[in-house]
Amino acid sequence: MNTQITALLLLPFIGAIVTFVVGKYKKSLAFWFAEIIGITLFVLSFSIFMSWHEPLNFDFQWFTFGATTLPFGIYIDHLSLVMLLIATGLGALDIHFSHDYMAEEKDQARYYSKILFFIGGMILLVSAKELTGLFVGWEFMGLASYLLISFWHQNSAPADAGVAAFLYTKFGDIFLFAAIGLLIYYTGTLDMVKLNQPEINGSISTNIIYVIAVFIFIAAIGKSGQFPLFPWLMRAMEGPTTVSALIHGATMVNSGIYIVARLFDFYVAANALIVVASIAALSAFIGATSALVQDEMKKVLAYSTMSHLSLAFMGLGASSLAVGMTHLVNHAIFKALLFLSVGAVIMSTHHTKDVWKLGGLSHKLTLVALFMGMGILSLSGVPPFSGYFSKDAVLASALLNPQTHGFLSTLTIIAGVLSIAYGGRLWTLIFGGRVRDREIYEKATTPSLFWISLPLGIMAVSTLVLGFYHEKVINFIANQEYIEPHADWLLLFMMSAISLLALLVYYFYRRRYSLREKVSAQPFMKTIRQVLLNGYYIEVMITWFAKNIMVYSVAKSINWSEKHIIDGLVNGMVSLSHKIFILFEKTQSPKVSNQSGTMLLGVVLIVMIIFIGSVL
Amino acid sequence: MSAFVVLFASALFSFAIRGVLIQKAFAFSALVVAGSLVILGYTTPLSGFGSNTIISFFELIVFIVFGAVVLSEDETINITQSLFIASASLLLLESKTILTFVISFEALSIISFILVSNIKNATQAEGALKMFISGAIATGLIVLGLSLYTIEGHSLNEAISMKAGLFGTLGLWIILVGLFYKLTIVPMHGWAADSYAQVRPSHAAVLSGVAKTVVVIALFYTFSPFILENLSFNSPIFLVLSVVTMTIGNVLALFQKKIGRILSYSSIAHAGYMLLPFAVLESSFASTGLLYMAIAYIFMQTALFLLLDKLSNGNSDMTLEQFKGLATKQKLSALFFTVQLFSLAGIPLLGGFISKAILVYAVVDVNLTVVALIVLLNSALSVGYYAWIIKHIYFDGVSGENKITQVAIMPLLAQTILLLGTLYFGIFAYSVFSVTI
Repeated sequence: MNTQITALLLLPFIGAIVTFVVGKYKKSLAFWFAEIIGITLFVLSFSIFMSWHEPLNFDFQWFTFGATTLPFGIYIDHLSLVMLLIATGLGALDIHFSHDYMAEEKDQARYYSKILFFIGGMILLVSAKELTGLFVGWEFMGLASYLLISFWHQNSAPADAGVAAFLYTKFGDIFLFAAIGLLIYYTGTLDMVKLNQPEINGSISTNIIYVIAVFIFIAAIGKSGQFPLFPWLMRAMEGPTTVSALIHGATMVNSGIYIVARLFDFYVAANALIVVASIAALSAFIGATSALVQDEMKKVLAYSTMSHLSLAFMGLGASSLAVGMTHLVNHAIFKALLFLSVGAVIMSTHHTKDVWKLGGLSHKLTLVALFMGMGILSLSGVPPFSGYFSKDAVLASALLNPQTHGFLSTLTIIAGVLSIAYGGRLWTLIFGGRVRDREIYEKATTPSLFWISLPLGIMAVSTLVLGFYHEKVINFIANQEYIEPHADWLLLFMMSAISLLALLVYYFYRRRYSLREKVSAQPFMKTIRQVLLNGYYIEVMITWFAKNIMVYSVAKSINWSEKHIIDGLVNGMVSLSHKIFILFEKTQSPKVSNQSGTMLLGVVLIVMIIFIGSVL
Repeated sequence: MSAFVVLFASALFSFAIRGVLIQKAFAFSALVVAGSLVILGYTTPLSGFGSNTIISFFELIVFIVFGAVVLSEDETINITQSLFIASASLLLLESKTILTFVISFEALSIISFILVSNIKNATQAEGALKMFISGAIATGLIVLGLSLYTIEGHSLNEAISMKAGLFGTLGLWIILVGLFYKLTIVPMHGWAADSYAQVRPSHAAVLSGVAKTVVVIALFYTFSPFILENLSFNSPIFLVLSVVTMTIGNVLALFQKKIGRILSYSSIAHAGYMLLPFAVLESSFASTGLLYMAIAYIFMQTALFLLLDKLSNGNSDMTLEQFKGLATKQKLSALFFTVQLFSLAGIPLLGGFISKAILVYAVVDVNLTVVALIVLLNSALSVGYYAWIIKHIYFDGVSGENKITQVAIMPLLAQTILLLGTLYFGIFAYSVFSVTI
């Protein structure tokens, strides 16, 4: 195999071990190792990207046994390359940013080694040829996500959040595993390129292929935080902000979209894109509306992530693969930027996460305010930022596709334009207006130029520049000249809606501050606010269902039968086996004469058998 | 220059070396040199011996395990004996004729007796003596079998004759029964249940871990033509012996109180598993199954006995009570012990799992579904006592009469080698398949 690709696949895991060992020896070395490895990984991906002109294909086998072969191939095409660049590029910036953000942390070695392990999992996932390799990467990332969310496991909230994330995503993973089993049984191949070909996916009945596609999509829902498996994503914000930026904003949550994009023609053959579109529209709406009222900065971004991932899903669901993936790329960059900006704010205000305690910070954090503002504009879809082009294309394809036109496209468009409302609100409350908490404001420090502002700047410039190269990006992702869907009036509508909402936000949160309090004091508005704040009470419902239906009804009855029927049997088995043991123990005698006698008895028996056998 | 010459010469020379550390380094490098010679194809330059890919592969595994044994040992005499046993194992594995097979087998047995005769207390003496007496009977049987075999005019100095008549068959079977003594097949297991648990655990590691697997592999490649020739007659006998052995081993291990005894019964049960491929020879997975079983088993059993030796300071009477709370005192040792136990119990991603899986696959391959079911039930039963040890290691507090000694760095290094073996063959199963298929 190509040395570059071998290095790319192995380096993060080797690096994770080395970083851990070295970091235990000397704390400060962990960062430098991680930084060097992070940058090397990006350089490697970039050089593969530069020299790439056709899909790289390497076949390996995990093992063969009888007729069953478990393949473990590597396949790098344009989709993988885009994901590789995002994962390693943002990974390197994130590690760079962590130098200051995690500076007070004692356990540096553990942190950086987990981050590298995560990047390794992501690289494995996107360069896998078969679902086996993808599944291994998928689980590696799930593990890394769990470990990093609960990084501060000494406190109960992060530890619980980690467990929640693990359980929610694992629920989806079961379906992915089942889908792999079904695929082996029905098609005999796990090769994702082959699965897209009509001769494979056309050879089995449409019902089965539909079930498989939906199963895989359930796993994607879990990983990408879509309705109804999103509550873990909100709780994951308990982890360090750098982790949220990398894992829960920019890379891991994209893997659900990636798997659907990778199997796109399979989904087309299964007629399952409408399922993707429906869930996406609903999640986009839930995410965007819930983001409007959150008090905690990171939760605003978490709901916004959910909503924007849904837009990318919507692009796929409206049968425009390239559009969805382009939005994913753009979103990854500006969401990492936003998360890290919020991280910078949290850091300089000494771990203040409540947005109502901040305000007027633009005087102190001018650069961060500027970069975050660029991120917000890109998020909201304001030209010429990259977010505008892909969002416009997603909304247009949702409108023009006859399957999604109507209710689904309406939900999507509402979610799309609402970005300015929650984004603007977040920015205004942090940086604009009057200072709400004097003490926090006074204590706020200015972040370092090199460690904090530089990565933010790189991302802010990227999100701006990518807008100008939009056509190149989408052509690369589509791997051909791509004519994107377009609706003429959409630009006009979006611009006017965005301006209107921007004005509203300005008026509401800056100008007539008292009005906001009056409105939110109304009982009806209060109820709406509560519903939105709690993410439509989805988590409460899931917990209720799990507790009352699964635990109290099903599990309790199983428990009863286990206690009274199975245990009885098992206890019986113990006494039975003890009796057998005592019986058998009589065969074992410590006397050598008896042992030798038994041996000779065995000889006599076998001789007799042979005589009888030969006579018969 | 060949692997055998290097091993034998270094074994002789190592008598002259004083310090343990130097001897360790010497023995280790001798094994490394021997291993490289095996890779290069220079094995045994004597007539009647020969090698092939599978045998060479297994020899390398044996050398790796002996490397770990040598690292773990702390008495010069034991290191010397290990080298002798390694050279005898090489001979046994490569023997092509009945005569060389029997002679190498006797060489292996005699060095084993010398190994265990390094006794420290009465219990160990009892164990060594039992082993010696049973071994003497076994040798008698083998010679009896040989004489019966030659009555029909077969030559001993060539491979097994395919045209054995009544006396030839009888003779070969009596030889087999004699060899079953070393393999601890019921009813030839009585001595092992006591000896493995009574001799020093590090000696038990060599006897039950290495010697047994070497004998079973050599037996397979020497006797399989004979077994295959009249399979319909031979297969049921092997099947019955195998099932009885694994069942008795597993049931008797269930309620034991001493760790050494649990391990020795588990070793007997594994001998039962290893006898299964002989019964299902017509399956193309039989030889893979046996080789995998041997490789997985050699790593886990040797590791457990060696670690037990260090933890109990050479005392073979360690009970489960005294093992309580090992995890709180020595995290690393507890981890090594647990992983190897998990492998014995057949937990996936460890060597023990795939070896059992292939074995069951081979059994199902020849439509012996009932036997496969018995194997699986036995396997399930065995999880019971392995988990019982793990429960004592991790979930019980330190008991008052805790006598666990601290494990030094060298044995831990040896354990790491063995653990890597268990992990490697649990994940990269292809490396074994590529040799046999």
